Amino acid sequence: MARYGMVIDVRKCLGCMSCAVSCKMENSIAFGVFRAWVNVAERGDYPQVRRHFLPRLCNHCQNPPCTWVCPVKATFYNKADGRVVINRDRCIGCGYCIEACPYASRFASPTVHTADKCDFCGHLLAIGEKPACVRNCLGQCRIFGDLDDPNSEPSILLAENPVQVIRPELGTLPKVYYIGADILTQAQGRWE
Amino acid sequence: MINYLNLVINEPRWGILVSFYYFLLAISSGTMIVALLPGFLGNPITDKVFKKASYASLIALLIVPLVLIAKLLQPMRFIFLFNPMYFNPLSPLAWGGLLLTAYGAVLVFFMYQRGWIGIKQSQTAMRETVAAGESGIRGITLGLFFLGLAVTLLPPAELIVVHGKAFWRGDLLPVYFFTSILAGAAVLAALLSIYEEEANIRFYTNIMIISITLSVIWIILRSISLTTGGTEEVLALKKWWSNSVFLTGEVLLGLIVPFVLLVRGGTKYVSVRIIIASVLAIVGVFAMRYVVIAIGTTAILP
Repeated sequence: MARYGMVIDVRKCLGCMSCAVSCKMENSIAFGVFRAWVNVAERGDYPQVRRHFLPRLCNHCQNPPCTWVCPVKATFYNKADGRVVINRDRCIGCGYCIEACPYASRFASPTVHTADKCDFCGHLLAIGEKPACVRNCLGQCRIFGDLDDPNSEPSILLAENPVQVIRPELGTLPKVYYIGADILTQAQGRWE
Repeated sequence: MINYLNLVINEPRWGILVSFYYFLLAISSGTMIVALLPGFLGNPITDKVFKKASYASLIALLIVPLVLIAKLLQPMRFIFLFNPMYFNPLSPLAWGGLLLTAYGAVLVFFMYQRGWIGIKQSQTAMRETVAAGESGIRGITLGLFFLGLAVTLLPPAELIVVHGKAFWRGDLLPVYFFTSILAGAAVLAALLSIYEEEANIRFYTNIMIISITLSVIWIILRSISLTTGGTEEVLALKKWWSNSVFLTGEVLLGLIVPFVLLVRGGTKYVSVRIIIASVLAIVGVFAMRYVVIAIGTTAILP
């Protein structure tokens, strides 16, 4: 039993988008939709300007609103590894989970017409590898592992650093944590 | 001040087809509720009105699966909704599938019992059937009314469980979906005017006037409640009041013009005025559904 999660150290993010590109290549994601992406913004006025990067993906919430609404239990929280996954053979493509996700992490696959989202590259986890975005992160800002293992890299980072999550007020308990995402802390987990 | 250089928000899945699906539910449930209202108010329900309402309700309900198939693109997976192994009791959509099936089945049974569909019965046989099932019809009538109410409340039930969307949050949303009654009254008023039947059209136009007034009050209250919310609520308010479908389709064509046409005095062209007001009110109800979906899905912060 594991509880996979991710810590993203935003201080190391270069904004190179290699996570977004490698995710698309690894999972054959169509144009116009994203499982992993990086939001980029500038704040301030010259000469006090700062650029912020916020790598994004499915938060694999422990209390996922997308699973409550699925009429056929096609999307569910996998207790064996703590991932929120989709059974594509059962998904009817109603899009209810896409609307229920407060992070816009889900989309309708233009090719198979079912809901789609990040699954932490389940096929790579099955062979003992890490997700493509983690493996290809140039700044090594995406750190992936078992949050229940106190000796795992993300657990150590969580113990040693103050972290933020996106929109904590919704009570979804995301398992993607951010270090140094000070742009989030100013507005309770939102870019405002 | 934030200047977004790259901002990804995956496209929402719900759009015009879901709006149309909600609109059809409004027509189907609204006509039945409005047709049955006189009975609950102690007045007789005329068979002519009831028959028209039943047909309108059934036709709208029969279009629903076609719309859903067009949206889902996987019609065969529809049956998963009825697989007890897959049933998710937490999902309003799962209950919605059962509710619509039950509503449709009761409606068809009711119409069959009255001899309006199915094998053509002789007048004597029909009277016998009706007499034999008199107590049952009363029960079915009551069942139809409450199932219609449940169908009216299905869309808001589906929306208010989505906590992440500012426009759909709040206790006020279900109240607005009672515009189904406006749609139902408009359908009946239009049909009765077209067929030049004097069967108490005034009753239906009065319902329309009351519904329009309540809609305007709801819009004002919802706007005030959004101003007291956070950044996301204010964003929803701005998008709502700058949406052209809301301003022209819902407010102007769907509420103001029908209201003026209905309350205007004079006896000239009454039927034409009622038909135009009814058609515009129906357009307004569709616009309302479209706006709720469009604003709800797009008024989100990154």
